[in-house]
Amino acid sequence: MGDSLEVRQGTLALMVLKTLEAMGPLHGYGLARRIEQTSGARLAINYGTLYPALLKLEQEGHVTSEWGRSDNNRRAKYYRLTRAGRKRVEKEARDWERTAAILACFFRPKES
Amino acid sequence: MPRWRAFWVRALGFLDRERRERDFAEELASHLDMHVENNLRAGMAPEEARRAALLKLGGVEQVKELHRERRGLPLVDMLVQDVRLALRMMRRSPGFTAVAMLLVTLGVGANTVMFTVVNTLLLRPLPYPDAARLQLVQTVGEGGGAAAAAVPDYHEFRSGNRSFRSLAAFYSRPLDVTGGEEPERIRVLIVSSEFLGTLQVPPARGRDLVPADERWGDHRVTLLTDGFWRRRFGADPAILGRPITLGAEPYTVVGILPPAFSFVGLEAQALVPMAFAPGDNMNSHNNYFLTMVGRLGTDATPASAAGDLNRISESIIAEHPENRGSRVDVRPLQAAVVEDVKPALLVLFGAVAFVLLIACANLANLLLARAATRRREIALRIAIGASRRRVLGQLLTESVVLAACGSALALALAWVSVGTLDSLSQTVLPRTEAIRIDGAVLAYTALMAVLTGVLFGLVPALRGMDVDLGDALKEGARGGDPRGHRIRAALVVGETALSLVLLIGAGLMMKSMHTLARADAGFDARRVLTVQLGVPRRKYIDEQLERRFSNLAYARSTRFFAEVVEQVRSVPGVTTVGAINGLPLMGEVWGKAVTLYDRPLPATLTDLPPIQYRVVAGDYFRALGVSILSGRAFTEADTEQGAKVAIVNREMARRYWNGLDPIGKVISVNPPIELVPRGTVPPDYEPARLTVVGVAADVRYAGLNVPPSPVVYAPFAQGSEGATTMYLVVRAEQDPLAPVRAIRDRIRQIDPDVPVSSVQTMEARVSASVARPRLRTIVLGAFAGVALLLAAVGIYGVMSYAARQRTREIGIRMALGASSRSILTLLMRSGFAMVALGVAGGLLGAAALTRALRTLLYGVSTTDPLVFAAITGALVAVSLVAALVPARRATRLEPLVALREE
Repeated sequence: MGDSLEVRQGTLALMVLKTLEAMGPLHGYGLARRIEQTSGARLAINYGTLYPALLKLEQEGHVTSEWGRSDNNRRAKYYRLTRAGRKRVEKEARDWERTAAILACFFRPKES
Repeated sequence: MPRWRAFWVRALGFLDRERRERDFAEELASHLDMHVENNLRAGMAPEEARRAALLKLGGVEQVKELHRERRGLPLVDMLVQDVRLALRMMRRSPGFTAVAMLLVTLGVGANTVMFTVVNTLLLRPLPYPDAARLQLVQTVGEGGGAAAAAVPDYHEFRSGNRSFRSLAAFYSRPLDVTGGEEPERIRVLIVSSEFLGTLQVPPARGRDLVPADERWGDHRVTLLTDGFWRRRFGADPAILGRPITLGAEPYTVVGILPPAFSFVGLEAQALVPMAFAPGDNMNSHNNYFLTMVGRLGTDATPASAAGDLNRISESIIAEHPENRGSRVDVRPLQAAVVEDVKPALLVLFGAVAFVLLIACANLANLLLARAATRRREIALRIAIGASRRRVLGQLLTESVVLAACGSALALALAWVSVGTLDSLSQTVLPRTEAIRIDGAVLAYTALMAVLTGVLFGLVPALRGMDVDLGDALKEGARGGDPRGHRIRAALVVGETALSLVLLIGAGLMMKSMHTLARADAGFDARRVLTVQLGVPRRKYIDEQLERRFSNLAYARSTRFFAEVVEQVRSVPGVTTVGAINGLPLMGEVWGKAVTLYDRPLPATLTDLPPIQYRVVAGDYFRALGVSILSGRAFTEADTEQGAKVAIVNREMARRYWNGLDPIGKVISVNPPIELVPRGTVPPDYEPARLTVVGVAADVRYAGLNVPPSPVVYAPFAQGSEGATTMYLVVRAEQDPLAPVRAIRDRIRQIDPDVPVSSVQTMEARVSASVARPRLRTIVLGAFAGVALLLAAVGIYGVMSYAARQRTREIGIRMALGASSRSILTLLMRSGFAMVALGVAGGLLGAAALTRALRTLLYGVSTTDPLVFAAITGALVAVSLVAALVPARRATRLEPLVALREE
């Protein structure tokens, strides 16, 4: 774990949105697992930090939640992307690519 | 957008907090269950599976707290929580809450009432559009005494000024309304045609006055006030265009004023245009009676307008030297309306602020005492992790919530009290009808609630937090708080000082009131009835003869009043009857200039000495108990045909004849022809020369607090000069109100067209004349009484608290043989110190602040040593008793009980 990264709030929100976009509705535990798997276990997140992030997204209207049944018939709260959330993912993705591209210019080894 | 959405969702987050709390707990439980299940499947032991899941989550309570923080706005959440806690604390100690609320209600309530009055009279604009531009324009004499403008002057001001958008003039006269029911005398405002236009108050019905209405002959039109129209004409809209009889002449009603119309406290019932017959002496430089009201143009200021009008005034003086020595004064109408009551209002407003401060000091003391018992609770809160700021916020919330509840009650109290102000007469307080609780008052009360809450809560809260955790938790609730005691003592010293200032103020006012009541007014008001009588001018005065200055013009009115005196004298229960054109205490009614023939004539009209002129009929002097100091009173022999006589008052004799007996001196109350502007009087004009036949005692005509000025009395038969309003003065054997019915009947028999009004005992008039100083004395006295009570309660509270704190010590001392006397001395020492410091501060404060009362006092200096000494003595006595009671109780303790006390 020594090499894993701390996750910033904004980044976590983006990960949540992107995961929900890719996977469809998920409960909190599933979401946490999924994010860990996607990052290839390089991220160290306390699963607990996910919940305030989800709440914030819900308050902003980017996701909604409702109680449902899990695969092994357990009661769980499922989060789903709203239309506003979908828009935000698209916008954030574009922004991210642009930022990454710009930053890449700085970090690329200088050509001598 | 999403951010705002989030803000509102969070702001409302506290609404269904419990449901959300449960919901999230379930969500976390389901999360953990799934995680544990997964771990088990991965082969962990059950114990281990659960531990790993919890670790990965990061602690259930911590996550819940994070979630909670995000759920609502922490600040709002905290506030709601604190307010709930505060309300719970209030419910838990109802006794404390009741006392504290009572203090806040008293303090804030009195402040709210005073602010309501101040807000209406001093802050809110008058009820006219853009009222700030309205100015009262007055011609004032050289000495600063208010004079008035003559009609021709006004016409020049109106046409020549460049400062006013419009400049109106007005004066008021009583006029009789006859026809229909009972005749009635009403006050009529006689105005130039732009009067309503200047105020920008259009009539509610009908039309406004137009310039053509000022033309003599076309001038008999009137606008009625809404109140008069409803009362006398039953709000009949058909009255428009119909004539009513005003002063025995038909006036066509052309308009009705809007319901709320009022003008500078003049209780006028109708408006009529200002118009003068050709050659009317009223329309000349001999007669000054107009006041003006103007609406400033956009660029003008009161100062520039005054400059403008004074420029015109100079040019008038160049042509008419009789105006010499007068100048024009322009000031905002609002200030002019309230100028009489403003000093008293500000003093009383300051006094309630003092009362509130004293109440706050007491509240702070109460809270300090309670903070001591809550030290453990506070220490516990801090120990389990509440930040000190959080605890401070919570303690302050408690005091503000307390203040807010008290203020809500105060507002209800104010609502009731403001309603009762309406019953005050306009002469006591102007514009009472406009005084009401509005948005500004509500805002003020809300501000007061928060301010008082913080004011009385801050020190106790800071003290309460200043705890040593270990000690406070260890030691049980007991334990001295020496610094707390010093603060409490300082608060008591402060409130003692404040209440002494108020008490001295009230004491000065009371002494002034007392001096006023005992002032020698020059007459005996007991068993005297007064009745106002006005004869219709048309019927009783021959205007043809009057224009020629013939005394024969008034023969009919002379006969009428002689007959009234004769008839009323025969009413059973009546002993003496007289009449005069202006009663004592009514103010100046008729100013004239006197010519003294035993000395050279001055150069101009304005250099003649001014006097007050009174015409009397019957036995006025005897009826009112005014002594004749030398010479004789008027008799029935002083008729129109008899030798012309006059009586002067002592002040006149003192001022013009060095107090020597002026009997036999010759004077005139009309100027000699040499001094009268040419053309204003007929060539054969010759003022009557009067021989002084008596000197009467000084009667206070202008008010109890106004020193007498020179007065000349003349018999009505010889010098009524067209006076139509007289006041009957009837001295009765017993109850002066008993013969009222019979008197009315007699007068109706003589002439049913003469209205009888303002039937009052002279004692009632005396009382009404001091209604304003009496009211402010009572109000200030009440405030001072409350202050004294609060200060005494404060001292009592601090002393009993100190005694309780020292119970053990006292017990030990007594066990060791101290006498109860020495214990008493020990305890009282601090009491003496507090009172002494408070008195010293109060005396200094009073010496500095009573100056504000200067204009409100009569016959008392603002540093009257007697008042200062007596009031200080009273305060010291009350405070020492308040200190002694708990101290004595402490000395009566059984030593054993005292020692066991723990």
